Amino acid sequence: MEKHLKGSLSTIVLKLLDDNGRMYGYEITQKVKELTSGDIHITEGALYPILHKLEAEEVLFAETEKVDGRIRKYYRITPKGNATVRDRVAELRAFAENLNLILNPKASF
Amino acid sequence: MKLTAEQSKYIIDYLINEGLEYKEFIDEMHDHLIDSIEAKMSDGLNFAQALGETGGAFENEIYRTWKLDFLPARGLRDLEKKYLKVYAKGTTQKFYQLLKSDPFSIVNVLIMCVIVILGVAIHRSGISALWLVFASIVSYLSVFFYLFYKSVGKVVLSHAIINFISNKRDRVRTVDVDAVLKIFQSISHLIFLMPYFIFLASSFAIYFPIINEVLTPTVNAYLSLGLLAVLLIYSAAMLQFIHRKKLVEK
Repeated sequence: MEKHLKGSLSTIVLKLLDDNGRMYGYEITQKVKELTSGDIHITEGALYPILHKLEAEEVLFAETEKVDGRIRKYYRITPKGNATVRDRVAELRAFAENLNLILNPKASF
Repeated sequence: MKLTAEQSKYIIDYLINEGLEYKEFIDEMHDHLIDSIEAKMSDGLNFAQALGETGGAFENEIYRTWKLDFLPARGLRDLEKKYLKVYAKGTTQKFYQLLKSDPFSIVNVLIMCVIVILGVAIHRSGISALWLVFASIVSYLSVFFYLFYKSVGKVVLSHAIINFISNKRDRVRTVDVDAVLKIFQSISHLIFLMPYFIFLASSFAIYFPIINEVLTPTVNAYLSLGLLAVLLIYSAAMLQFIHRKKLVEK
């Protein structure tokens, strides 16, 4: 599963943030686990570089808040990032549909 | 299951022992580790087991960062290196994009015309025309430093502040970096204008003896015009910086 996930991880993160407003790193890993009943597990080593890259590209905006005496970093999509999310989700959806056509050729008739 | 204050402190020590240095990144990992450890402890593990499993999850990711220090780094330390690298890369990309997007704007063309006209005056006055090149470079350097500050600068600055005002072990826990950063941010314009001040001071230091020598026997009109031109170029370079800074902020 991990090897198929690699190219679409940033789109998954963006879609979750688009649906949930703002989220922090651990919350994202748990949400993916919950939505896929544990089938997809995003590793910390893969998630954080993506979050930081998207933040550096100004697709995401980070804000910190004190929670239980420690600092929590929340990520949310910037106005500039909204278009990126739409494009990437549409791209991934089209890819999934095409993949389905290839894997299930009979179902397309 | 909530962690105790001692366990929370222990996690920070663990992160520092792993080689992490930058407060912003340590804070983010600290929060992640606490959430993960609390969840694992609720499933029946003890603190040490939960910390071992959570830390191990980072160790499973192996990256090689040859470009940075010729040594492979693993786990959390490597993530931190990637963290800094991503923001630093963003700075250079933004800088080139900015240069590409705005090479012939009216403000830029006007400033360049002013610099060329004044350059002739400087040349006639006998002051080296190299100052023109220097003035332009200073202007672009300021834009670059501004972009750097906007991205990775805060992280690097907070790291420097922590190291400067506290000892290594307690640095993450005890220093209110945000308060110190606010002071730096409030005077950030002064920091970005620093190259201009250095440029101005160094040019006076170099040319003062020449000016003195030339002015004593006869007043050189070209030299006066040249000095005025140098000052105007400083202003033009500053205008260019302010103009680009506004573009960055858009």
